[in-house]
Amino acid sequence: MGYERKRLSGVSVDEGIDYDMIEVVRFDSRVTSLSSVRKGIYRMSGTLGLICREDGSDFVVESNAELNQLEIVTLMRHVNDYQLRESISQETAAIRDAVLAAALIRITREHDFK
Amino acid sequence: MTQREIAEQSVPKSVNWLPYRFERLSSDEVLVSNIAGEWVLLDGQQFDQLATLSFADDDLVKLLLANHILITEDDRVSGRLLSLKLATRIRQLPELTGLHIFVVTLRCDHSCEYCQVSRKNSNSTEHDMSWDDAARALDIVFSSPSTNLKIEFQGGESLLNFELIKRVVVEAKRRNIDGSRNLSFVIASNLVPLNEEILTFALEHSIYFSTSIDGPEELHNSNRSRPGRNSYQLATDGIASIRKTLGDDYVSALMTTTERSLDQPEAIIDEYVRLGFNEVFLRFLSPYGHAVKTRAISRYGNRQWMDFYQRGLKYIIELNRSGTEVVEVLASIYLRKLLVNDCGGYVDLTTPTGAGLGALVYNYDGDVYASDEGRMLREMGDDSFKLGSVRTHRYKDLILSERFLDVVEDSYAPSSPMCSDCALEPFCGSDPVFHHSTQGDVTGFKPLSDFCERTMTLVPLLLRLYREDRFCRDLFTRWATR
Amino acid sequence: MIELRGRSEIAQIRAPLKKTVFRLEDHPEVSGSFQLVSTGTPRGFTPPLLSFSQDIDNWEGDLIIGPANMSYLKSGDVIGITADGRFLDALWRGNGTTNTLLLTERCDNYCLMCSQPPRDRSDDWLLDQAFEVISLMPENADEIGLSGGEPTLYGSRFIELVAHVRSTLPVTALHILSNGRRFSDMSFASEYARSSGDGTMVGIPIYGAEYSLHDYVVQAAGAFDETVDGILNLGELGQSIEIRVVLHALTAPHIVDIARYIARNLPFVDQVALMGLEMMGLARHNLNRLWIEPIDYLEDLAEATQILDSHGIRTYIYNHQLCTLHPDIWEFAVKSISDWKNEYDPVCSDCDVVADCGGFFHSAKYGSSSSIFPVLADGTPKFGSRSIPTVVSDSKIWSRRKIPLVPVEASENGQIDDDH
Repeated sequence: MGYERKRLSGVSVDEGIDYDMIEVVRFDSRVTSLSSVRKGIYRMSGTLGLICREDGSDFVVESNAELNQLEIVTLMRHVNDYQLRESISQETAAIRDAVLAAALIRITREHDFK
Repeated sequence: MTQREIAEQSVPKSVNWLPYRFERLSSDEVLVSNIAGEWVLLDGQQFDQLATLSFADDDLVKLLLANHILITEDDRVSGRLLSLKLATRIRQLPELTGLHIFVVTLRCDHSCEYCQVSRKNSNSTEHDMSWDDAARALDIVFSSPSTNLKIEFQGGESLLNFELIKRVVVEAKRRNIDGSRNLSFVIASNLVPLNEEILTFALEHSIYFSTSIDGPEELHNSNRSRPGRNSYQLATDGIASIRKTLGDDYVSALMTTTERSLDQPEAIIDEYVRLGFNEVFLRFLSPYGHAVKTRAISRYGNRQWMDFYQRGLKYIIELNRSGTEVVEVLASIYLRKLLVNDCGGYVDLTTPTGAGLGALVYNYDGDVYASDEGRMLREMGDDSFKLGSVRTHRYKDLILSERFLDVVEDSYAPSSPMCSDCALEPFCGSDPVFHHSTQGDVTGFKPLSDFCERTMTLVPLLLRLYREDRFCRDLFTRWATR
Repeated sequence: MIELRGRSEIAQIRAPLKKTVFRLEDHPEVSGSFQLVSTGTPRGFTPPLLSFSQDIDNWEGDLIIGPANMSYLKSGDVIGITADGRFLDALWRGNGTTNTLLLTERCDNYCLMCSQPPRDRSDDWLLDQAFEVISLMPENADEIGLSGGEPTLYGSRFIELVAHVRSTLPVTALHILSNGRRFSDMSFASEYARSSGDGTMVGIPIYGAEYSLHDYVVQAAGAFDETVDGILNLGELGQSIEIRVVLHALTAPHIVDIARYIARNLPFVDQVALMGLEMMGLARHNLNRLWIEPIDYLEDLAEATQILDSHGIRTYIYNHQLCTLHPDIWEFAVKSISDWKNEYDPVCSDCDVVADCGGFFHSAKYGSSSSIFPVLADGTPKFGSRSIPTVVSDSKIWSRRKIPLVPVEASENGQIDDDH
């Protein structure tokens, strides 16, 4: 394609990073999924440098700079919301698939594709 | 009264979620939308009831049932309705490419500050499209499955190669002699070269004109310079001539928003009203130019633009309230997605991307681009969105190339990070060219995307106006359904 | 107000009539009288002579002198006569603006405002009568309606009737009123679609944007889902559909939601009819639950109409006087749907737009809005306010009973009786 992906955030679980990281908040992995935490971090990565690592049964979010109270609360709210979205997705997966499939079949039939 | 009495309808049956997405617009406003693009605005407390599926408010349950966000346990019909509505919403996709832009020349007498492509030498034809290339481009046009085909002539200044325009129109109509397609033609022009011959031809073939009016004369002329500094005068003269010969409906105007425009939305709108237009398109600041050259991400520009837009929209609403009918086109594009079950046909705000799938650009040299912006990038040395050439590629080769399909897939919103979870996604789109230009990535990093921020600002603005103001509801409904 | 049923002045019938449905034809010999034509002539049966004048001497066969208040009948009209000749029903009139055949009083809904309260007893004879009427109607008849109760309860016989209409009266518009529930059975809907031909429309009510309001109004659990399913089936089969919404205290506050629901979920319907409450049958009985001043939903009705109209759905408003409607939606108000029902209040004589206004149903004498006032052509009150002018109504003419109840002079015969 001729373009290069520029990484504009510091989110990485695997890569070693050369910052002094400050712990921001921990999430209990038994009630919070890793993907919710990562999505919460992603959402705030426009202005913050956050990473997530595992520590025992916790997901630990670390930052390369001090976060203020509002930022921490916002991050937690985002993670909670993504967790809710996951359960909505799981609960409604069956009907979503059925509705999508029915819609696509209808369009396909109508269009008489050659 | 009767043995068959149903008790008061205040005890809804047990309910479950239908698929929905949510977004907190502010501390006490949550937008909830379903897969058919239907939405409701809830306060925090109402959303908590929905999120926990424990309801204290029957009216809330009824609202959510009516909007297909909840379903009763013994429901028989909502799944069917949702699939019908979703089918309606995506029905146009297989139509594919309806807009075909022919860049018939790069010659131009203007040197507009935001233009990347024009060449000043008005006599040389080395930057004119040849008939051979145009004919091959027509092959591609008619290979598109779309029933509606709009051929738009651009440039440079397209009327400087009017001979080619004539040939293309005549040939296109000849190929459509069976009337199986709905053909329409638009000439995008600064109207300086307009003459009787052109008007007569346009009248005979029902050709529409689209011109540029950036605002009041001073603003317009400072954006769009030409020898004689009279771009505005010539454009307005041209508008009058077209109206006189073909009728009011045959000419429309677009503005290009520059930094200079940002503090005078009312004056620009007044200018459009004064010139007799009944619609204004308050377009985005173009990132092509300064931002692209430096690859800098300018949030400042976007925020200023959004202030400009909000002022302009409110001003237009007030004009309507006092009896002047004028439509704001960008709002009407969003409102069509919000209020009507239809994605609308605006190629720059649709997913999968409208680039290539909705529109193709045939450059003067036969090269084919996925969008006009893609063509402009080429002028700056970036041919990421060049799909091929009319000389070597057929329609299928162009839009089925690996490279292009990767772009389509990588920018597809329902599978992009953040977009896939976003409640506003049904009302938004994909813009791989914009994200490539500003961020170097067709998917786009949405937390820093101006494109994303615009939808996240404009949609809530429109929804709040819609909800609070009966006059706005009627006005917006008319804009959305026109 | 035309009476559709009457008692014969004279009924000289020697034996119970073997046919009971007849078309009137001008009698070739006895001037001013009608020859009665039936479908088929059973052996030994000659239809009676029908006349509305009392001077018929020397008529040897059966004779009926018809009710004085039914002398409007003319050649081409179709009537029913009881077997003893004592009662006449006008079943189809060439002059009528709406002709609707009652097929049954049975219904599987029980709407709180039903103008034809259901009776749960076999009345197939009505269906048989309908077949006869269709056979006798003139071919150039403009329109015919089928109603009930719920016509589709007859199942395949209903479909046969539809087919009979289409084959016997190919250019006549057929309008069927149904709650739509039976059409949720796709095979029934398909059979219907095979017989409906051209020019047939089904009018189906929707009373809510979700099940709980609709089911409550129609007093039947599960009705909403079945009705919507039925409408979807008819839509898939390309059938003409009208959606009807009766506006009263339960539905009018939600009319905007209902309009949005229709525009979004049922956009393929041919038209929507928004109807004022008819003060008959159960509507009168349930008045305390159902009555709402039209002025109270004036804005909402205007918004709902504009939503439907802007989505390209043809919309009609029935049984609303123009002074109760927002002027923006006057163009959607239908002037009259029935020539045998419409009347005007004395205050209307001052109104500038009375010529365009449908006035009142005769049943408004059982109750209608107090806020009726003359308006100018732009909708503003003519006398500066919306209060009721003090006009004393003439006790000899029909007078409305205004709600809240305002004492009126004694009505025509001092009684309230059920009209049709």
